[in-house]
Amino acid sequence: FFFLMIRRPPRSTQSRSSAASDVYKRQGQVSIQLGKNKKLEHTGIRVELIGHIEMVYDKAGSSDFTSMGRELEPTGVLFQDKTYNFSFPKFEKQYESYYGSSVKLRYFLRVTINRNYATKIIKEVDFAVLVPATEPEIKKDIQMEVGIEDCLHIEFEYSKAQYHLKDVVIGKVKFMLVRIKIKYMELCIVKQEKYLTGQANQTQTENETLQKFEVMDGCPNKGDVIPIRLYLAGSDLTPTYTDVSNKFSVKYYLNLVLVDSEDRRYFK
Amino acid sequence: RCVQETGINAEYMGIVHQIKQSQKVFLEGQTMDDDQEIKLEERRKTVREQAYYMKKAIDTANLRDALRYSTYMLNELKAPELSPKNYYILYMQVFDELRVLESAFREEYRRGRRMADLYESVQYAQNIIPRLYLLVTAGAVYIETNEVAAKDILNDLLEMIKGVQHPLRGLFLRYYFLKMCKDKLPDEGNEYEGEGGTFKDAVSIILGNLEEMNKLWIRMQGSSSNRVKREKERIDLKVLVGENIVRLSGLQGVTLEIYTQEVLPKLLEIISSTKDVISQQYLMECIVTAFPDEYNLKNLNTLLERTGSLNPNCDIKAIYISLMDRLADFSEENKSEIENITQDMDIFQMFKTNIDNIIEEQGQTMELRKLLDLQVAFLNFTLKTYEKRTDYVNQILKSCVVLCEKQSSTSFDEDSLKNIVKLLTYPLESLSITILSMDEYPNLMNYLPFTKRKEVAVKICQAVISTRHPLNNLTTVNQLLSFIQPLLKEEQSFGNQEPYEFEGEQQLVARLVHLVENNHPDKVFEILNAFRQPFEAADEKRQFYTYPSLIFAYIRLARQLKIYNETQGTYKKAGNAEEGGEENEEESEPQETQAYLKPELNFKVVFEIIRKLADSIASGNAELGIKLYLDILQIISECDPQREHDEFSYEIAEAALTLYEDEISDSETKRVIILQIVGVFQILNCFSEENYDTLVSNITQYLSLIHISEPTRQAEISYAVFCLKKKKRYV
Repeated sequence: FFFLMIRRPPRSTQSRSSAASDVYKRQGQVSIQLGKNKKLEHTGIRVELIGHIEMVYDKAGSSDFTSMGRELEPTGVLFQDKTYNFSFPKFEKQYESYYGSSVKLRYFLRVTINRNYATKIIKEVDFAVLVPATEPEIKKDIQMEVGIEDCLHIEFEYSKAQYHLKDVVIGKVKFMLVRIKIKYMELCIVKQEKYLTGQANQTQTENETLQKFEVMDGCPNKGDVIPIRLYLAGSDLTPTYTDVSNKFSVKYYLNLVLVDSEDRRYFK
Repeated sequence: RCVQETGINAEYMGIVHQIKQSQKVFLEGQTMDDDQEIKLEERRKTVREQAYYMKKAIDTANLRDALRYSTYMLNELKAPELSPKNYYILYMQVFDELRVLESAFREEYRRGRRMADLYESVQYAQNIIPRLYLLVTAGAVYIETNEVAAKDILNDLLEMIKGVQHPLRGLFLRYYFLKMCKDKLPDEGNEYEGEGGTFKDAVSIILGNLEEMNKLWIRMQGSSSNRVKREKERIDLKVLVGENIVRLSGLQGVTLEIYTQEVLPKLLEIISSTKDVISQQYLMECIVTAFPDEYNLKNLNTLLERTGSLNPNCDIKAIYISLMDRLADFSEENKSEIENITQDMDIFQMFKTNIDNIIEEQGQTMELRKLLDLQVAFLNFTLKTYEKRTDYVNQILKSCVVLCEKQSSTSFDEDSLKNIVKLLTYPLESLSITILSMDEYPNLMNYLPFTKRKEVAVKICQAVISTRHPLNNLTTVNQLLSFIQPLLKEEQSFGNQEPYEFEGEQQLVARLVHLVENNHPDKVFEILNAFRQPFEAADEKRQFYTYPSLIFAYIRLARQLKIYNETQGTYKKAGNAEEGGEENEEESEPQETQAYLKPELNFKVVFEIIRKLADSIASGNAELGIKLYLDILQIISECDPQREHDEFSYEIAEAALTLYEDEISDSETKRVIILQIVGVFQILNCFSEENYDTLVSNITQYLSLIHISEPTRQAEISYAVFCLKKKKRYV
């Protein structure tokens, strides 16, 4: 019966500093509509801007890493609809929003209407924060030679060690020794979330395979070179995050998997 | 359903595969073929369904869904359980459906979609088979837009399709690639030349594809299990691999020079890079058949050598035979060209050297008939290419004799014998009687059994007769007679021959006699005597046919003698006037000359010979005998106006009449014959008056003994009597 709406201002009013600066002004409007009730008794209306790290499987471990508040209205009674402007001028974009499976980092605006005769009314609206990074200086590629003695020996390379989200993984796999019956080979993109659990300061790891991309069908001969071309835009990727607020990391791996005729899996 | 909603991923495939394995064990009762049929139908149904949805999506310009359904459809081409034959059926169905998608891509481009984007978005497909089929399809359309160099796209496709290393699926994918880029290869004079590349790029792309397809094809052989089955499957698919060579031969830019310097060497390299028999055999045959004969002719030495050095288990002779047959046809159709070419290249020697090598290396193990197959093809080629070279033919025959010599311990099989017959009869068509000059000819003939030799003899006769080659040389005739021995004499009691067959053979021999001619009567006499010898030695059955012919030949000789006498020893048409006769000349020369006849040759001798021959016939066949006697009387009459041979003639006439009286019993036959006798007697001049009277009165008596009721017939008899009397008056 109450209708809360937090409106963001149109884009033009959002001030943006240069990419180097992480300081933003966050502002908007809070609109309270009374609906059928004619009055609203409250003990204070606040708006907060919160940055929050949520541990999905361990709610106790969740925490806010940043919090700013403004009082919109002191204790009183509202007899009609009211709109408030708010502004958080010095908002530092520390971390990027991340919505993972075991960890989430969220930014949201929370409006609280406190009441002493009933529970408080809360409305949260998420907003996204992007922290663009510059292209890394060092262009390294990944090259490796792996194998199992007398069974399988391959040499593979990927064009880069660092990719952007719409990039292409270009590479090749060279077979130096093939003594097993390979059925197929695939390249898997694996996302790894590592997070600190509330108890005993232990780290939990959760892996998720985002994509299985078949790169070879059948068994090659020694000397064959198989090309790899994997468009990353086909997967749901986010940037790599290292030690966010000392609470979690998100890493991505390329897993090259060979499966033989007995369904044994050989991977790197 | 799971498949449809999520798209098959590798893990699921693994599980499905395991389930199918266990199903197979469970359904042990069903045969493999039934299993295949069912599986194939299942997959075909799925393809039909997904194609239907795909087309609907295309109709509503929903590219994303179209790609999605096409991916489901193409996933059926994973089909790990299908045999190559069945896979082909499935492939063809998918191929047809993809044509619709290809048009849709074109349509998208026309509507403004960037091909580069389309080319990229098809690569998002997770499974490699659908992804690559879509990529090739998109790539083909991309090339058409001319936005990017054709060779770049083609090379990219060629690179990416390396991902399919499974032999069967890889072969079909690469075959699809070939089909799709058929009109998109940069070539001399086509729209893709220039920035799109040159025909050399096209050549290198196709060769690259061929090399990989060859590897996959060989990989199909697998381990030693089921070797025969695998070989058969591979042979079923050979056309897929051969398509590369067909494509190469279709390029305008591949001139004779390019072929010689770049294409052929690379092809031969690919062929000899492995030891696989099926691959080497088939690819070599492709080269022979796909490229213009002229190209291969100019590169003959290379081809022959490399063929000879293939894996010994290859059917090398088949390749040689294919090559020689093609070149034989080429020679037949391009007479002038082949003349030029043979002036520059000793093709015969090239073939001979290489064939001899093969025989030497493989002669121990290869069966005789196969070696002879090779020689037959070689002979055929030689006859068509070198039309008059009997020496070449003789060389080939000699090689065959050598081969047969080695074989003499065991008996020859039927196919080998057939081959020998071919070797002896093929040359007859173009060379006819000149085969008699080949000294190896009779040597080879000796290896044939009686019936086969007879076969050859018949062919020889036919050849000589059809060319109407005059038999004017004693040596030639003697040789001919020795060749046709099986016709002249029965060698062993061999089975039953159809009477009409025997008759046909003997008639051929008889006709030979009619070809005897020479300007010099001596020569004719010699030759006829040469014929007479074997005829006399033969049995009655044969004489029935041969003697009459000989008799008439002698009769002709008598006429020739008459003319000779009349022209006083000069004979022949106007030519070089030369003194002295050459009695022993081989050929009859058209010259006016005073020649001497051998004293042995005179009318009497000839008449006596003829008479003896007729006597032989008469003893077995009275009717024919009488006729022959009458013929003799006529020629005597012609040649002997002085009636020197009166008594001789009288004897013959008497013999005839005796035969009539004693041997002819049927009255109708008697009537006919007596009238014939009367007819002949009308014109005879060889009797003295006394003898003539005696004979005529005998004849008249015979006439009177004929009682016929029919008035016309009776009138004939009366008239005959009248004529005789009339004649008598004028004698």
